[in-house]
Amino acid sequence: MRTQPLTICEKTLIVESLRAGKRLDFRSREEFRNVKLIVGSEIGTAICSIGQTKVICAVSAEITEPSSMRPQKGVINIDVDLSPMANYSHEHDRMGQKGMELTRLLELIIRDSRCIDVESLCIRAGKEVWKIKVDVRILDEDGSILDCACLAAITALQHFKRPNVTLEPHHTLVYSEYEKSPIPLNIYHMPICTTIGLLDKGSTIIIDPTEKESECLDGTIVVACNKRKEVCALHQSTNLILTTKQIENCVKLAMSRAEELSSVVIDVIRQDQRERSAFKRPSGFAITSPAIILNENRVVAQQIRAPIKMEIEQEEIEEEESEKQRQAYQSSVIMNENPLRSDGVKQEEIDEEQMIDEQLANIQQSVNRVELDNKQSLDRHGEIQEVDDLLAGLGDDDEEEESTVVTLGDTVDEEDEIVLVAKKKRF
Amino acid sequence: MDGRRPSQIRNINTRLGLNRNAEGSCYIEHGNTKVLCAVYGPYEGKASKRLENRCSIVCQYSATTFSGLERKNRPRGDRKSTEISRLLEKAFESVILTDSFPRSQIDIFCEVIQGDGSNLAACINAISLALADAGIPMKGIASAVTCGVIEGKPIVDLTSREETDLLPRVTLATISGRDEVVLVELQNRLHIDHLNTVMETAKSTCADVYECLAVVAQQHIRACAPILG
Repeated sequence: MRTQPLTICEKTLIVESLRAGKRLDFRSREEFRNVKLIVGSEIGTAICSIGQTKVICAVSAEITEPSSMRPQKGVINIDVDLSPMANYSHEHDRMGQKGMELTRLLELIIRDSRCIDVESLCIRAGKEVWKIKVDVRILDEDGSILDCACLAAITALQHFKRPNVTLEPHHTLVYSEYEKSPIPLNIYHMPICTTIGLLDKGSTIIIDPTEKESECLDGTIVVACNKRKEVCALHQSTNLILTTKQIENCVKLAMSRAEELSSVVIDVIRQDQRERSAFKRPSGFAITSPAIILNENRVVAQQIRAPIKMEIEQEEIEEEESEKQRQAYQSSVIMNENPLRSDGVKQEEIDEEQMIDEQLANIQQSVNRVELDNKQSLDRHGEIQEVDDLLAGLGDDDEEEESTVVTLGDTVDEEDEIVLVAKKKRF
Repeated sequence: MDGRRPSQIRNINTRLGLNRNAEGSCYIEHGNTKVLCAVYGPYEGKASKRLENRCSIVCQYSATTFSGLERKNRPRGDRKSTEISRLLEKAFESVILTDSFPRSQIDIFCEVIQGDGSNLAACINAISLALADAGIPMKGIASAVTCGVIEGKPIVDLTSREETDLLPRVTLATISGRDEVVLVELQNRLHIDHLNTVMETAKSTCADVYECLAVVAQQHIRACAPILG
C-alpha cells in the first residue's frame, strides 16, 4: 500500500511557513518536540516517544558461541521492525529502504561507536559469550524515528542487567535474579541521535521535523553525539549538496541536544534504580502500553500512570496529575465491565495479579478519599474496616476467577454507594 | 604505515572503457584497492522504478569473496553492501543532472576486486570516471577520500590495516574539488575539535584526487577523439 503524497497546496503551505520561521505545531524552527521516556517493569525495556513518534525497545541476552575472528568479544545484535502498524506504507515482514537505513544507522551508532564494553560479555574465550539482542519496534511514526529509536535503545541498554554466571570446570552456572543479583552492562558513553532537516540547499535548518515536514524538505542529516563532545556517526541521508560549514553547524546543534538528553536518560535510570532498591513494585508499562496504543489520540498520555515521566520544559502540578490518574484508573475499570473490553484484556495477557493489585490500591485510595469527605462521621473506622474486609475477600476470589474481575470493577464504581449502604445499616 | 606522509594519497592507476557492453566502464587502483565499475544507460527502465521528472539511479555494490581479509560468504546482499549501494545512489543522484533524462534509468555496477581500505572512496572515484566515459552529463566529477585521525592529526587514504585500528574515519565526497559535499560518512567516535581539521584535510585531498581524475578523463577523451570523429 502506498501512502498518499502531500498535495501541492499543503506542501507550499508548509514550506512557506517554514521559511517564515513558523511551523504547523507552533514550534520555532530550532525547537525540539517533547520527549517522554518510560522504563518498563521488566528489566531492559523502554518506551520513548518524541511528539507522536513512539518506539519500544527490549533488550535480552543469551549465551552463544563467538565468531572465530573475535573469540573474546560479546555479540550485539540489533533488530528493527518497521511494522505496517506505524505507517501502512511499510510492508509486513519485509524491510524497505527505510528499514535498512534505520537498522544500519542504529548498528553504526550502538555497535560501531563501541559504547558497550563487549569484552566484559565474554564468559569463556572462544566458547561462550553473551549475545545482547536489541529489539526495536516502531509503534507510531511521525518523523525523526531514528532519534526516538536510538534513545529507546540506549535507555533500554542502560536499564538492562544480565544474569550473573560462575564458571565451573566443565560447565557454566547461570543464576536467576533471585539467587545472585544481575550485572548491568558496561556502557562507556551514550550516543544520542539528532535529525536535522534542511531546506533551500541547506541554508534553512529545521530541527526535529515531523513526517509531513520531512516530506517537504530537501533532505536530512543525522548526527549522533555523546555528552563528551564526540561525534559518533554522521550520515547525510539526502541527495543535496552541502558545504562543510553547514555540516559543522549541524554537529554543533546536535551536540547541545545530546547533552540535554543524556542527562534525561541518566535521571530516568537513576529514579528507577532508587525505586527498585526501595523494594517498590515497578509499575512499568505492562498495563499502560496497551492503553496508550488503544487510545492514542483520545487519552492524553499524562493520564496514564507511568513510573517516570520526563518532559523537557514542562512541569505538571502534582495534585492535578494524581487526580487525572485516579480518573484514568476508574475509566480502565469501567472498561472491564464491557464484555468486549474484558475479552480484549484477556487476549493481551496482562498480568492478572498485578492488575488486581492495582485495583486494590485504587480502592484503598478511594476509601481514603471517602474518609476525608466524611470527616464528621464518628464511626468511620469501623466502616472502612468493614469495606476493607469485604474487598479483601473479593480480592482473594479474583485470583482464581477471571469473571469476578468484573464484579470488582463494579465495587469500585459503587464504592461510595457501599459506604452509604453500610452507613444506613448502622443507623 | 607504508612509508607515506600523512597527507599523501596512494598511487592511482586507471583504465577507462574496458567493458564492451557497457556504455561506460572504469578500472581504478588506489594502491592495492582495485575496483571495477560499469555504467549502463540511460535507458527506459523498469516501470516500477520510473520517475516522471528525472531519471532513477540504481547502484549495485559488491565485493568479491576474496577481496577482504576474511573470506566472505556471498559477494552482495549483506547489510553493509546494501548500505554502501544506497549511499552511492544518493551521492550520484545529486551529481548527475537527473533532470535531463526523465522516465529513464541509469544502472551502476561496482565490483571491489581487492579491498585494501577506502573501498567506498575508490568506488565513488571509479563511478565518476565511468560516468564520464559514458558521457552522462554531471555537475562535475565527484572525488572522494577516506580520512582518519591519529592523535589529533589527520591522515588520508587509509589502508585496511589502518582501518581496522580504533581510529575514527570520515569518508567525504565533493564535486570537482569544490566545497560541495555530496556524501559524508563518519565511523567511530571523533571529538568535535578534530572535526574541523579532518573536514578541511579531506576537502583539500578531494581536490587533489579530482585533479588526477580530471587529467585521466581528459586524456581518455582526447584518445577517443579520432574514433568519434
